[in-house]
Amino acid sequence: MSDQRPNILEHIRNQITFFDGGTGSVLQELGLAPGELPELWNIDRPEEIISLHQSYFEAGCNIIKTNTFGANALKFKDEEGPYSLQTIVSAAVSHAREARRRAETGVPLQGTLSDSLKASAPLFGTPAAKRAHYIALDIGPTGKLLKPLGDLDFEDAVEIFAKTIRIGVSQGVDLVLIETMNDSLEAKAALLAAKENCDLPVFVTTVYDEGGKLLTGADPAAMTAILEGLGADALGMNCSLGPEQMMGIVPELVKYSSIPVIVNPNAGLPRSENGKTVYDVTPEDFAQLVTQIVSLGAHVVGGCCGTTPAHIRALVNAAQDISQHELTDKGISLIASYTHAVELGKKPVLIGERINPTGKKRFKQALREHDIDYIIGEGLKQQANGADALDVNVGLPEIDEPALMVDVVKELQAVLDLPLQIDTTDLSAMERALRIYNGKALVNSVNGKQEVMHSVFPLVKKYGGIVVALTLDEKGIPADASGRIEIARKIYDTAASYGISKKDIIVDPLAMAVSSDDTAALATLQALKTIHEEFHGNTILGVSNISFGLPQRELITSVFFTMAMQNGLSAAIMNPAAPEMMKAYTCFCTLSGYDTQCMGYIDYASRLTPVQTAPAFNASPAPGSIQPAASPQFEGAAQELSFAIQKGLKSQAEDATKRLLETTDSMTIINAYLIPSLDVVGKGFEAKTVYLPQLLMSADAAKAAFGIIKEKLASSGEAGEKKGTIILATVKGDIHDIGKNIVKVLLENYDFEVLDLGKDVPPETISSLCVKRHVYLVGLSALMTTTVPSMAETIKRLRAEAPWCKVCVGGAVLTQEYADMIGADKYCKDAMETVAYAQEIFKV
Amino acid sequence: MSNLFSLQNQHHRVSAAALPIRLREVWHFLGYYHIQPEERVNALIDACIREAVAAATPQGIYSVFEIKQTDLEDTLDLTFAKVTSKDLSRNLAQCHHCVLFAATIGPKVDQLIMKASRLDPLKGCILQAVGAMLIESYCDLLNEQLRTDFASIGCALRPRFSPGYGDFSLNHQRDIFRSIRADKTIGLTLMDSQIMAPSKSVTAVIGIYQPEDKRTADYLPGCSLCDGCDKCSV
Repeated sequence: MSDQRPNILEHIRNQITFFDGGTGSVLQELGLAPGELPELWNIDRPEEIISLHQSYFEAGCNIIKTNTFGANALKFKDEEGPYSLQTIVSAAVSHAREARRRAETGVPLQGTLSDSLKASAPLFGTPAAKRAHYIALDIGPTGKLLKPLGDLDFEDAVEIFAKTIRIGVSQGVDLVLIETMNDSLEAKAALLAAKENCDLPVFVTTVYDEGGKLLTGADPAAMTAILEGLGADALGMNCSLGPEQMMGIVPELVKYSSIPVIVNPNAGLPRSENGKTVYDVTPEDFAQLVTQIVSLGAHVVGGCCGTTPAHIRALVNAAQDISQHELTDKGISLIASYTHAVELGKKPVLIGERINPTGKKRFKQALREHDIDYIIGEGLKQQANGADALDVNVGLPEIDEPALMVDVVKELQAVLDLPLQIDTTDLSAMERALRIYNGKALVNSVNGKQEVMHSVFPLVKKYGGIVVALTLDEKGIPADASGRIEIARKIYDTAASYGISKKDIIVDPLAMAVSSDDTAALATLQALKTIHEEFHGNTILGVSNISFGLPQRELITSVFFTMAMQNGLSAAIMNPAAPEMMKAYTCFCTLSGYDTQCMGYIDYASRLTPVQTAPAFNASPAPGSIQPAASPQFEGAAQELSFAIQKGLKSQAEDATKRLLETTDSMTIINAYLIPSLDVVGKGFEAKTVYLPQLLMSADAAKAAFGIIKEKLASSGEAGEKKGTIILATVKGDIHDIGKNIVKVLLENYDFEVLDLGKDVPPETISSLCVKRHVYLVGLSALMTTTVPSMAETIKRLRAEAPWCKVCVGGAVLTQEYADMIGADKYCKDAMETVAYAQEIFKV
Repeated sequence: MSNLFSLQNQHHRVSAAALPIRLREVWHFLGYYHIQPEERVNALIDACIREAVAAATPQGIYSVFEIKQTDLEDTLDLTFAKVTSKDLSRNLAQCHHCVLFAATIGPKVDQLIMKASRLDPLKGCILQAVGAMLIESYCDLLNEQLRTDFASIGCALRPRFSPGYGDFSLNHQRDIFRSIRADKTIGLTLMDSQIMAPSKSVTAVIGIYQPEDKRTADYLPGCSLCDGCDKCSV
């Protein structure tokens, strides 16, 4: 058969293709001990492995998985010898090839499989030996969670997968199967590794729970967008669920996927019977259910845990003659985060434009100071205001844009689940961001210039994404619609030559200032309409450009926005906090049939009704509140600020600060009002009359007040004088940072500059920053006894490289004894004590 | 011998909505010992519970192992590992088997905590406390089911005992993760630092014994760390 064996993708296009069934569960049946690694049998019990594969081929399947599910460099660390990764993977592939040879040349199956596992029913149709047989290099998860949820770095994961793939591919397999992935980011790392290390077809199946989500959150549409974007050749699901529970998820995959869909269910759920684990779906029931799955549109089916050659035989018999769904390009344009996809081309999509320094002093300051919290805050605000996706632009001439872009994308995707638009002209920043992005991004942008197209398209092809195509080229921006349409056509064609289909292009026909050209809006709208109607392409606009140079910009921009949507606009880059824009958008959606029973409109309208203003400030403290005797005595707005901080009232603190700023300078507010008020709360906390949640509420109110002061300083160009600079870090090996974050908030409240290095920070990172900035105080946190040695190492390093620096330590496991033992200058039992120590060090 | 003693890699899952919510435990985690939080804090706790329950995916996996005595002092052969620990030896005294289990409420709760603790430490703290309560609540639920299962064959269970309790070394986490397929089945992983990810997770052994007298039958959490049996009125 080997000579006539068609390419696997061709086989799938022509007929239902069958995977084998379970490996691990069958090996347990054959005597694999609990805790014993199944891959060791490639060396210790080769005949069993060969028989297992052969019996699946003889059951009628087309593709077998090599016994390499857990074969990775984390589990097999030996560089050489019988149990090195090289030996294990090579042996696994060689067993699979031997099984295929035996199955195709009529060598009888050796009798190691118990009768219960064997397929005893006859196989209908083509004899097994004459079927097309393929070997898939099986790649399972690393067994680690990727950062930030776990401790495995993305690039390390890519390299771990790459090692196994390089070995397996060199031994002669037909395809790579990445399976049982619980996490979209890990699936991405594995797929990238496969694509970077071989030219074979790569299939990816992930694990969905009964709610149709991956453990880390992705739904089928998101996974389809991500995997298709990265160039997977087939995708689907396996493990965890039986065929019945998978039934509901299959249509979702089939709806979005333009590549073949694979479904490999478990044989139902496991239970114990006579001391053995058995699964509750019989071969006959399995065949019947999976046949239904084929009718729903799956192209490749087989089994996972608990399925045996008998299950596969029954399935092949039942399903081989079913006519399968034709494989078509669904043409659906999707971007995705790690949880969900957003479809372009239906309801207009709002892309928040606020993460961008252009014209924003405060934002520029945040970029220069690496103030990621501020940037994340802008993202969360836009999400709350209704953005569907976020534009991310961190370009400033004086900063390392690629590094900052990577940081910002990582941090944003750790805390919010909107798809991102990577907005940069720096190709290195673009590539690095696309590489680590846990989703399928919008890429902003390409244009009609040859050089730009030939540098951006390869990135889009490799990492996936929908790319914004600006209708300008070497000759500039055509004034009329037809010129821009021509450029759009050129971009579509060039993209196609890179294998990028129209669904992954979104054309920007460019909104130009109507103040400088009376027909500017008309040209844009005409181009928009043509691309929408004649090319059936997606379109995007930075709508606010239209009103440049005019008064009351929002007024005219919002009407233009409505006109653009009416002409087919798929997405707008805009400010979701602008009321006129959101009014236009909400009304348009309701009037265009995107708003079931006008619920969206009604909800929006109800929020427009002026809300009752907060009750007037009442200075008389509520019963049980902080004792007024301990409070500083202020008047007017100062008193209000003090009260708001003590009671943790965020918006009142902001209002009071705004009013105070009219009469009082920033430093006075901080030193005379803010800090003394916080002191009252801090003392209460020490005296245990105030609890941690209250302390944090006060801190939050103070933070809000600081935010107002910062805005003011940024807009006036003044630089605030900080009381001192402190480095904070959770030490290497420890990923718990909530305590450290509390300390940070309080230190900032007391006007210290905090350089927050985050969690799991290596000693050298801390010491080098300490040296670079000549910092006088470092605060280290550790939660686990196991990471205290790492704290000791950090202190040792700081003593050697930054002898001027004091070190305070804290965290759940720390005690005075530990602190003394590892040579810290100070043990701080809580956040307030850290503040007190900082004040002592900086003599404030 | 009963089937129950040969259970391997049993997968258990429930809907998070089925977990009993124990407010007092959340309050304790937040530092409120003999006092209730004020109304505002309670409202936040309520909201956090709703969010965390919606995000949680409680799952467990367990296997049963035989316990053999060894010649070494305070050392038991639990089949999946030889463990030297005075406290564990006391906890498992008279036990012939143990259940080894790993349980987690999943990574989505960590995502919530991560998001909140970045910008809103109060919410982060509360979610942290709620997550800790939920995993405890799930472990109790799972343990209760095991208790019922084993009661049907006349066996009783000791309170669960985790690596890190007393002198039961955290290093045994590696043995545990080697012997049950926690990563594949429930998505629970062990980091190099021996901390688990997702963070709201528990591994533990539960001793199985034939009840004889009141003292062992009524064994309570903490008994193995206490020497006050003679004076005990609990």
